[in-house]
Amino acid sequence: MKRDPWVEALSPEQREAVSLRWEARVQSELEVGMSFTNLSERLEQAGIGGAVLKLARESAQQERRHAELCHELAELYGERNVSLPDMSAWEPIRFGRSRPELELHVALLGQTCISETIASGWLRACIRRIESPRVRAAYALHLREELNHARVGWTFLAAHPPSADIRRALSASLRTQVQANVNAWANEANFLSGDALPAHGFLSREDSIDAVHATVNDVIYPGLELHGITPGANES
Amino acid sequence: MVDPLYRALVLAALGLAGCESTPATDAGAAERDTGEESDVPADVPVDAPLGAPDTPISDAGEEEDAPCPADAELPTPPCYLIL
Repeated sequence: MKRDPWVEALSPEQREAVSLRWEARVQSELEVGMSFTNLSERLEQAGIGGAVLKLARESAQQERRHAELCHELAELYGERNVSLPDMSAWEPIRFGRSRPELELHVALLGQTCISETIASGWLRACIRRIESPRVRAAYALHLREELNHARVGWTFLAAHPPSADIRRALSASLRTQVQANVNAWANEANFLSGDALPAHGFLSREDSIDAVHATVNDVIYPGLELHGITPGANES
Repeated sequence: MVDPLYRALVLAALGLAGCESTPATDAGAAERDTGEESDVPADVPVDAPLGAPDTPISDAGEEEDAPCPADAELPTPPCYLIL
């Protein structure tokens, strides 16, 4: 792989810490890709086509490409061969809803309107601080495609307005669903073991949480409210 | 101020939804429907200031409200959280 002066300016400890984070992201990208494949199949079974299905299928492919990109960066920073994770045991998340229609809505809302939207806001916050040209290009590609991943759910809601009972059910669990994502983003394990390296795309925990909160408050909640899904509104 | 991300996602999706009856909707539809370029800086200006949250949510690890019974059934989704 081509040498990178930004990488070489780091200490061996910093390089290894960054490499480990990219390696972890390989797995999460692959998991998200498999989840989008599963979501695409479920959308198709539910008779959902058009832009929603097309975006979902493209998202599955793009997440696999993101994983390859993360893998390259893990090897670049670590100066070592990085093994690809074994994904054979992956299983889709089940939310335990008895009605398939509601189960699909909860999964779609969580993966796209919440998770991918947070990811988009977080990537944007990272890009503002990145100085490494190679990492900036990687994040820019991620963000551009992440927007379409989030649009799967937003387009679904716009094209297929949920019934009143689905909206009530989604509203009732919305705050918990959002908080689960916020908590995961704040997990210490997601951050470098040493100091943050925003020039290389690794924000401090505080800055990451700020970006997540801003996205939740300025994009996710107002966007869902537009479709009649409001945290805590479990009665109508 | 409306967050550019809100425009790029929520409002763009309203335009995309109009394409639902056209199975051949292509990947660039969102950009065209919003009159935006597909490149990131034009789509979501990375230098655009974030609006101040007017309804802050709780800090990570804190719960504002006790979860309703339906919430308790929700597993913490482990796999699709990062990117």
